[in-house]
Amino acid sequence: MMNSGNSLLLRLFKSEFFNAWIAVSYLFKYPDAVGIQHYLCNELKKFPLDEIEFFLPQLVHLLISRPSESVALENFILDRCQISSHIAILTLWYLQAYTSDLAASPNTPSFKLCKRVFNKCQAIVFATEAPGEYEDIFGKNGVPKVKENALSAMVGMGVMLAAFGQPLMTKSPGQLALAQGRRPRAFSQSAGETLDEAASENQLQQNQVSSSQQHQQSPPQQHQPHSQPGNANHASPHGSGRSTPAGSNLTRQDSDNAISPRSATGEPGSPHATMSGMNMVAVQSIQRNHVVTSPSLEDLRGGQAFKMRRDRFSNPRYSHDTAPSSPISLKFSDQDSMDGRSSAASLELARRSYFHSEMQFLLALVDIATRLVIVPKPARLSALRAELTLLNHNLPAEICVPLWCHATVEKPHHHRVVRIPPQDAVVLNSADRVPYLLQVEVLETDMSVEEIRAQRRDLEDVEENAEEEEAHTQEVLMNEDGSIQVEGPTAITNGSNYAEADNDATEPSTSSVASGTDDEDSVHAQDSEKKKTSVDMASYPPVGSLADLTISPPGSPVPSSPVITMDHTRMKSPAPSTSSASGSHRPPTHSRSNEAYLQTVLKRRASNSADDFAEKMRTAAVMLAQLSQQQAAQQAGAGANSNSRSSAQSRSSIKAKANSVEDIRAKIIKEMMALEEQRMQRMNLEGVSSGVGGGGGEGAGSEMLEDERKVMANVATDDPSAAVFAEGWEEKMNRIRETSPYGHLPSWQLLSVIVKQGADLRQEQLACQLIREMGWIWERAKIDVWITYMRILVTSDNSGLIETVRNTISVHSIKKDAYARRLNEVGVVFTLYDYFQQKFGDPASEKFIKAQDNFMRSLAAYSVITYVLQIRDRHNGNILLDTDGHIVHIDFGFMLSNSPGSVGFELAPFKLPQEYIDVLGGVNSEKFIEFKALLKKAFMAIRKHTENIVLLIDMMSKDSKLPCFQYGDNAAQAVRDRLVLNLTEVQAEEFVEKLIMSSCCNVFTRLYDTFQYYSNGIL
Amino acid sequence: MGKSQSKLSSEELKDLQQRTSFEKKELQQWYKGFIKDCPSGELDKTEFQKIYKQFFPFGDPSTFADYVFNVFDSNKNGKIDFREFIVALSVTSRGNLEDKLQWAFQLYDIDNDQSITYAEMLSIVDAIYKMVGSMVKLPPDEDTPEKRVAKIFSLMDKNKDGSLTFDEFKEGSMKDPTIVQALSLYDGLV
Repeated sequence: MMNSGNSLLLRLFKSEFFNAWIAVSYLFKYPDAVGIQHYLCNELKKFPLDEIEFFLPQLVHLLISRPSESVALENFILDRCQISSHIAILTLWYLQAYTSDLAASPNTPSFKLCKRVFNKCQAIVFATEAPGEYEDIFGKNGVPKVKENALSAMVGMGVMLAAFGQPLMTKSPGQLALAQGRRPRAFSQSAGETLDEAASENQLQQNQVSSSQQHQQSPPQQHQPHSQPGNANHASPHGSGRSTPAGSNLTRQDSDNAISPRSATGEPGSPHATMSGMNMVAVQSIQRNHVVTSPSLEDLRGGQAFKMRRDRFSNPRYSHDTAPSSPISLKFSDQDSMDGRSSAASLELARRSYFHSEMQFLLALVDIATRLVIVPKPARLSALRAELTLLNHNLPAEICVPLWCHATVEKPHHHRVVRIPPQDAVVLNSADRVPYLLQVEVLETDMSVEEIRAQRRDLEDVEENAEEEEAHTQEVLMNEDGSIQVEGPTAITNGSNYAEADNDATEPSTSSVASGTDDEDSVHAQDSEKKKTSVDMASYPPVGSLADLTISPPGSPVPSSPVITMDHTRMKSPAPSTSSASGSHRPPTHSRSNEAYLQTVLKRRASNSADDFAEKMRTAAVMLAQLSQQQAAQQAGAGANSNSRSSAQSRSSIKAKANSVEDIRAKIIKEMMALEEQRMQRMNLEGVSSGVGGGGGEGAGSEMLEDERKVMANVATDDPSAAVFAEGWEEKMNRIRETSPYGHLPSWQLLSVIVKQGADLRQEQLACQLIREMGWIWERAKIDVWITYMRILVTSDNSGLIETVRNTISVHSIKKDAYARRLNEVGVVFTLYDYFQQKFGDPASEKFIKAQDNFMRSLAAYSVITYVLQIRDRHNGNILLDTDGHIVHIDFGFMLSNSPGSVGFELAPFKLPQEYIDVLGGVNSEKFIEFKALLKKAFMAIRKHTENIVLLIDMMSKDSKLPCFQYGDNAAQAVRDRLVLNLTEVQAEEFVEKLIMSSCCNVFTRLYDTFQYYSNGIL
Repeated sequence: MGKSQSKLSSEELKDLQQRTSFEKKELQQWYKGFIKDCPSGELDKTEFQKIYKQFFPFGDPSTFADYVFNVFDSNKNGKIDFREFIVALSVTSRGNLEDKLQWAFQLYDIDNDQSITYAEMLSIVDAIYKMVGSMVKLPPDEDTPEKRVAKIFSLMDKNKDGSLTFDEFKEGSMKDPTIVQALSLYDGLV
């Protein structure tokens, strides 16, 4: 039976209907069928990478949530990572998110699998050996050996026996047996095996030594893997001598903790907040190898943060002149553009540094959002712009933004991020987070950074002159006792004592993290750090004496361990950390009162440049972050103390500390406010052009509201039409292009994204993916509806980037603006129909009719989407209108099974209030009839391809952490139910008619909008 | 070898060290793997077939699995135990080509009379084709078991007596690089 069924399956797989979707769906249906998994994964390799990228969230979820006998999917994903840098980075971030999801249960097969694949993926991304992978596991020609998998070995041997009978039939089954044979066994030393397995391996060896000791049938994995939490902080047995970025990044992890408000106590708002306590240890043990952190102030200031650090890899022959324009393109195409001097090794180095820079860049963006949380609201915008100004010093850089980058395997031309216009960034305050909107200028070019810089057009712009300014940086460090310590750049031109300097540097930051957490851990961490640092130092002697060597100052979370930054191009310009900086400006290190230091930090320079301001602001923000972290640590420490010692003395001293911390905080905030005042004044003098940059032009999400309110305040006073409807996307792009030193380059492009921290974007991503799939269904069925979807880049389980929808404004803002401008006409309700008239003119005009048609086509699509996916929380802040009249839904925090709070009265199938109907011309209008017909067609098309939608949902639902799967038994089945598959076509169409009629001016819709108005002020 | 235990005794180790080219530690590791995969310490025909079905989902591997089982089951007690397994693994991964061919010859020489008849060869090749199914595209002169067996005999049956001796089997195999390659599957990898 089974065989005949499967041969039918093979016929399907070999048929003309076979596509990536079928392959993925059968991967999902037969997770444990080894042969089928391997066959399908092989077939999937034949599909273009963008199709794989589309399914990637599902594939990764399938891999992690259903650990199976088969290694096919794991191998397939890793294989695609080898081929595509984008897939590699996306996968790495997904796995990182799963790592935190699973951190609570580190003994599950899923967690172990996740850990293993994460390590392997990192090894690919950074082109290093996977941890635990050593010579021994490779057989001839570097092919990995098999492990002790008896069953696959028996198949492999059988295949060998068949060689004589038909050798042609043995090749692929033989490879299958080998692939399965390499499946790691819990008890064996092997690639990607993790520390706990190494631990059980030790135990195993002990057993062997004393063979009389009979361990009755105890499976090896039951050996306590995490018997000591401290374990993970020990360098891995093979890691200490490792001369890769791996170990080196690790040494910076703790110092990074010191700077961003991220702590082992799981403070909300920190990227790793979801990991707490001992799980943190488990997670760290995974991440220890390549912890990419956001760059330090020092690095940002110096403009080197995203620089290719090929110098570290000491390849003397590899100079800037031969730098690959794109390491990825070189790696993956056979083009021979490296003038023959490059070796495969240097390509690898370039590649790993490329990935590293790219991840660092994106993490830097996310970390800014983290820091903004602590900044008082009025100063946030300036703080953000300050941060971005500093970030700009490091651009252009050879980095791209995955998802937005068009590079493919065939055309590996990654774009380059060249600039982030700070004045066009906008803070989007929400309750407890600070997402922000920013524009990113990119060049679709293969030019090197040097070439791009050479083509730079000089503009009269203060912010751009920053580089010419004399650079000096200070790093602010908060000591345990609450004193602030200001360090000048530790610049060392003589390479002899740098190792020592670095060790010294590491200590204060490490200990500040350690306070209140497990002391033993931190001691271990420190120990291994020191060891590593010195080893790294030894293995990477400085190359050439002409380079300026800099050691980053304490507390700088530079991932690239010893941070010997050697840069040929910047030799002439006063790089921040050359000897000049260590001269007279360098403040004394210790022994001054807090206040004096504060003054030094914040007011040291009289100069008033934007850059100066940026630096001050950033410094203040960093100090705030450190303060709050320290406080959290102290509180944790206080809790621990009261348990163990309960010494009154220590408690009172903690209290005293807390008071002094509060004092400092108050001072910093006061300073920030003063800085903001200054900026506002300057802005008034210099004109408002640099004032409210964003606001209009793009719909962003409910977070926009706060900012819009601010904009509205301006509207009342200044020119009302200016702010909200300020600029369309084209206008904005042209304006930025004109003011950008790179705008004249033909390949210049602008991306607009919202950076979010503190939010899991995976559900948003799923929603957008589903909308996209529906869009394809309609496209194929030639149904003329209109939708749009946003790209969503998930960078962890609580951060990421969201694309903005261009030329849109929320319905809420439309109304708010209308009321703001008609303050005298109290009591008159402003509807969407009024807006359409105001914006598009007379209802009989061509312009209006076109906009009305656009509205109708988008409304039909989004009605079906919101109904099928049960997208909730459909208040007017989450509904946008674009300049052509299209409606766009955003914010998918509530869909499928969850709905906002206890407020369950969004009972209408979809939102169809009177004002929508009015825009269409009333229920009896032709347009409304057309709308109904189109909606029906759209519904029927989705119904016909129900499984396309359902598969994507079904694959994500098992063991999912997403809120949309937390209620209701089976989200996928519920979608099927809503599509009334049990009805005939005619019945189904009647059903849709009923849906429309019950949505029409639904009393619940009105109720929900009223509720939103009264409770949240949303119009 | 008897019932499963968590590790090999020193006598068993000594014995296996003599019969295979594995070291003590390797033997212990493989033993652990074997016991994990078949906790009873033995594998019968049905279980063996099941494994093959996992790996060959689109065909019918049961007949071929049975033939392979008989090669593994050297003491003909209807079970494959660790000793039988590891001895076979030693030959296939660390033996020389002649060892491997000797071992493979057993499969085709179904009645164990030191020669492979046309009928014997056809049975095996037929089982192979059934196992792999239509997964592999074959050249027209080999696309049925009959054609393949005819080809084998025309190339390798030097004396045209309708059966292959071990020498003919060996000589024919060595001449065909794809066979030699297939036989080196585990070389250096175990």
